[in-house]
Amino acid sequence: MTDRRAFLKWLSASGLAACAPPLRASSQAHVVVAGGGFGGATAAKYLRKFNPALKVTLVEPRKELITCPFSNWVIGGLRNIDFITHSYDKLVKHWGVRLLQDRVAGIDAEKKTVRLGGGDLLRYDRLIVSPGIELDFDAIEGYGAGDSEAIPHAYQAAGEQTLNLRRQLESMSDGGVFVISVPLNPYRCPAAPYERASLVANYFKRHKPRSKVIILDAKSRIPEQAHFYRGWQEFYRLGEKDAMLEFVPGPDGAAVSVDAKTRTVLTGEWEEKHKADVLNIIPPNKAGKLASSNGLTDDSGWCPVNPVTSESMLIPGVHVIGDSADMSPLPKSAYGANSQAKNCALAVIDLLQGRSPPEFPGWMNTCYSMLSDHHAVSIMRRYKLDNGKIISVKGGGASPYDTDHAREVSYAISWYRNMIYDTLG
Amino acid sequence: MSARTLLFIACLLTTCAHAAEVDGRSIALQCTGCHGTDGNSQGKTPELIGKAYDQLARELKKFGAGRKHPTMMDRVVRSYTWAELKAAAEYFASLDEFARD
Repeated sequence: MTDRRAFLKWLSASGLAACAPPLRASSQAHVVVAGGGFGGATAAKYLRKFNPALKVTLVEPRKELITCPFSNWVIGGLRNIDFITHSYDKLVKHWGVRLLQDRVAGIDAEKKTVRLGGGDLLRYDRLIVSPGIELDFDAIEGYGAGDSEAIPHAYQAAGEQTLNLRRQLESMSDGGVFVISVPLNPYRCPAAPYERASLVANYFKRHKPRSKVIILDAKSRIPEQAHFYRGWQEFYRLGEKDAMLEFVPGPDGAAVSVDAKTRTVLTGEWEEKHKADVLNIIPPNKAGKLASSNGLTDDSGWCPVNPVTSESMLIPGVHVIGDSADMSPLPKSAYGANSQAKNCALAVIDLLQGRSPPEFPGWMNTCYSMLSDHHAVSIMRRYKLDNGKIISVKGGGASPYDTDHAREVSYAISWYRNMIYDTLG
Repeated sequence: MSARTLLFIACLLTTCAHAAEVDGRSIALQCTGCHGTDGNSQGKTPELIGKAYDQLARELKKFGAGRKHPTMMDRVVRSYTWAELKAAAEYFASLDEFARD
């Protein structure tokens, strides 16, 4: 009898068999990950990092990841698109993730299979879906998916839409008006629309100083409000007669309808008219199509999940991570998705091995917002479970006012490099 | 004894026997978005790999006591218990610097 068999015999006699790892190397467990953004790519990497015996297949239709983080730098002319474009090569070569450039067309949770766009079936032991967001094109009258060429949203997958908005800003003549419309919560990356408005104003200040930014908001309060207001006053003369940036909070600023031909937005109860030269409409967000078309969403439009394992409350064996998952108050952000993905990877490894998980650590979120090309604000917050509910932990928050905000810009770049490295590299 | 058996004993010791203790690895994973996988930073955020536990613990104490003025770590340290920070520091200190990914 080998040591191992003796050990197993002792194990079954001692009643600890529930802790046993899978012993059949021949039937390697297979985890399929659908969606290669910050959630899905991180999950695929960490599954392989912490259990190299697992077979992990990442299904992602796009060839490269073009990130939403730092896409506002591209829109504001501070970086080009190459800076935010990344290959999946290291996931494959270094981590041994199997990458299928395809889309998931359907999920059969009974048979534990996913159907790919080409018709092939993939069998899984556990499925992780990280489909990001879908934009609600029924929410604002006159703004449908077909209008996004003339009036970009630049808010879903970065890339063509990002470049489209950049081109429009470049060809706008000095003295023009950029109007950005911001939806109600919850949506992806709460501070991003305000960072975008700031970096467009920064571009105008440097290159088209007679131009103006108008923010039309459905909400009356915004994230890091004091920081943004202070920055907008200091850099763009908010509230002054010749302001370069104007902010119309909700409910008066809520977009009701859009006339795509004239780039005009009507807002609030009184249907106040705002005419733009370059118009950026960010419609309300909902869970990605893969989630909603496979029964993973509830009436809220988001996916209810067990926060510890990220397993769907609606379909067993399927885990939902990233922006689609309802993890409020954890914001829908790249760092949040990366943090969820690592917890989920550890939970999936434990579940496949029948092990009980260790003490649950909660999640972390950090992000940087640019108020100008030399002024950034950081925010960090930890989130924890308290009687099954997600709460934010005291101690976090935004940078102090008197911090060195130029230094924060250099740390924002470092943040981005390490986020990419932790997700793809 | 096979490698698998050793691994299994390690599993028993770390997860089954001590399930309620702070798990340094899962805390440490909350740091790696900013500090890079295994603390192997690709930017100006400090590296955590290749540092001894004492050094990491000393730095964390300084942040907590307000003796250093970082961009973010003072806020980070205040969001964790000392037991959690210690466990994360022990995890980073245990990583093999020469087996970097």
